[in-house]
Amino acid sequence: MKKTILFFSLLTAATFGFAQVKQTTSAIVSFDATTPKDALPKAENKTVIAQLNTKTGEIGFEAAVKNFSFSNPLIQEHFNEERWMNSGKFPAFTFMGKINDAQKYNFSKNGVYNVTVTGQMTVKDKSTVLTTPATIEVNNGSLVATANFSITLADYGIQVGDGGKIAGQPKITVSAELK
Amino acid sequence: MKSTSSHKTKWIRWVLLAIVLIGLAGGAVFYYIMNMTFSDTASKKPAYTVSAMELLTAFQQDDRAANEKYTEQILAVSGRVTEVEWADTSATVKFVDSLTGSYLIFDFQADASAEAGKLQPGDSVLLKGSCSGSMYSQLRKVHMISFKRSVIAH
Repeated sequence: MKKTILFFSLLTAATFGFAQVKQTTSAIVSFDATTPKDALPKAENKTVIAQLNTKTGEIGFEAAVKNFSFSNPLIQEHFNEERWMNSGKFPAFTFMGKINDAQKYNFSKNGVYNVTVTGQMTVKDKSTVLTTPATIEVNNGSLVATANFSITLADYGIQVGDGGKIAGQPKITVSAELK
Repeated sequence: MKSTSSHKTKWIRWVLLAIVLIGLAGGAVFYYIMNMTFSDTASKKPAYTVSAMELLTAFQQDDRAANEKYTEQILAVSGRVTEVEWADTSATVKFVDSLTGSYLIFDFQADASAEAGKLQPGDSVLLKGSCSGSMYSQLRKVHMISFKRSVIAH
């Protein structure tokens, strides 16, 4: 009887030991809109919420716009003002998507998985479909997800002007250690 | 005739000097603005000193009023550390309301991150940082109040 209980205990632990939903509140999103004319418009947010369901492949990110930290106070002020991110009215930007063919990957096994993610990027209440390659590295139950892509600011109603000081397609880098 | 010409030359010299001075002043102002950085949070006097729970309650009761009052202000916030997370090589510290799951999260100045990373869950601490206001998380179904450029207040 004791052996049976032990067997079922081990089976349960093996089945549920690897939690299905992995998350963090300290993902990093970097924004780089620099150009040869201006090296200042770049920022980082280290308090981004990220979540991945390893079974369904559903993945999501949420960032507080006002917590993007710039080195220059004036550029940070411009970033948050009405004609740019209008963070007073739209406090967050989000990405909600899914890993394509998620069933192909076994995220309970250690390894590096090159995946493609497709989802809705929402900035200033305007959503566009975004598809990007991403890498998920699994190490003993911990997952590190990284992705690099660009967005077109005009898609979200943000006009950068003709001065060439701000890139119209800034680079976005995402890095999240999910537990 | 000669006197008029001399007067005109002098006048042109003054105008040119004024243009050069205005140009230099403009360049200096531009250089100053482009090289401005945030001052050290440790040296800044907080606009408000509050407890983590007081702040969470203020945002939960009236999000708009609390955002107007606290956002982009330097706050000193006391609380008990719930969690220390590492984002790359820098630490973030969280105060979590155990009843609602809503939380305050602090990202630190580069020179303050190592000290913050040594904090342990349960430690009582006073943190000072620039409040970025609140956001409701659709993923976690909780409110999050974030801080940037934070330091441990001594």
